[in-house]
Amino acid sequence: MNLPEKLSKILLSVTAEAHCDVPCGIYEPVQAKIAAKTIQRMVMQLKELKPSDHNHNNLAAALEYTNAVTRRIATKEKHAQMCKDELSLLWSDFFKPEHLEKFPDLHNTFWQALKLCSKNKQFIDEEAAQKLIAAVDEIAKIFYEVKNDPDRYGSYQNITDKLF
Amino acid sequence: MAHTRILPINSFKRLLFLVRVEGESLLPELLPGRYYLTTSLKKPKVGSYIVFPNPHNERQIFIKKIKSVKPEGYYVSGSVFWGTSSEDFGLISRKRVLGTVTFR
Repeated sequence: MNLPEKLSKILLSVTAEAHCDVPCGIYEPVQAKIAAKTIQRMVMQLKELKPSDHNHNNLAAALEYTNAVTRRIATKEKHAQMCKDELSLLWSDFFKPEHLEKFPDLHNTFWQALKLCSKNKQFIDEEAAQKLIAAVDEIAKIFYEVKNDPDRYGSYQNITDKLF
Repeated sequence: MAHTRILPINSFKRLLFLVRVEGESLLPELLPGRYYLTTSLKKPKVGSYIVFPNPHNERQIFIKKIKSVKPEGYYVSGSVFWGTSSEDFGLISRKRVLGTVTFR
């Protein structure tokens, strides 16, 4: 324990911020949206995939089909986790308690979005994929408003809604 | 932004108080989480670490390093290039300084 710490019991102490104020990390909801759109794309492709041969004796065809399905499920799983990670980062690091004053439902919005990430892992569900995209968009809108740059939401939509 | 308290103005306690640094913009000189002995008796100079209320939000207390002294006040910044500085919130007039770090 150094001298100031020893004195902390008798002297008045104050916490002073030496934060960077501009975030040390770079925060941006686009990554979360790309991940959500990837999930949607994988769900669409999984629904379209059909086994080329129902004859289980045709091992090669069965393997090809299983491989195609597995790869898309793995991609869906990976991007659901990426979306969860990106949203969690925004929630825990970018947003501050004072933002709750303007957006009192912020915690619930994030909570529901993260739950949708899990649901998209669990199921191959077009509705769940679309709901996740909508949830990410809602968070993005709040994000750009907090950044005092609401017009950027339009640019965000232009980029992320035309990915496929 | 939690933990921030405003020092009682004109209190004798301001003569000598402790400041606990929160954040990393003064690394490596001042470490986050550490206490530093601070006084309002010492005249700040270039290189001093001063404690002052954020000019844009009086409820927030900042600690920054003096880079230059101008007639209107102190030009302050962090140690890292990406930190906020007087470029963002202006010069800090002498009367706004709550204290200068005196022991670290």
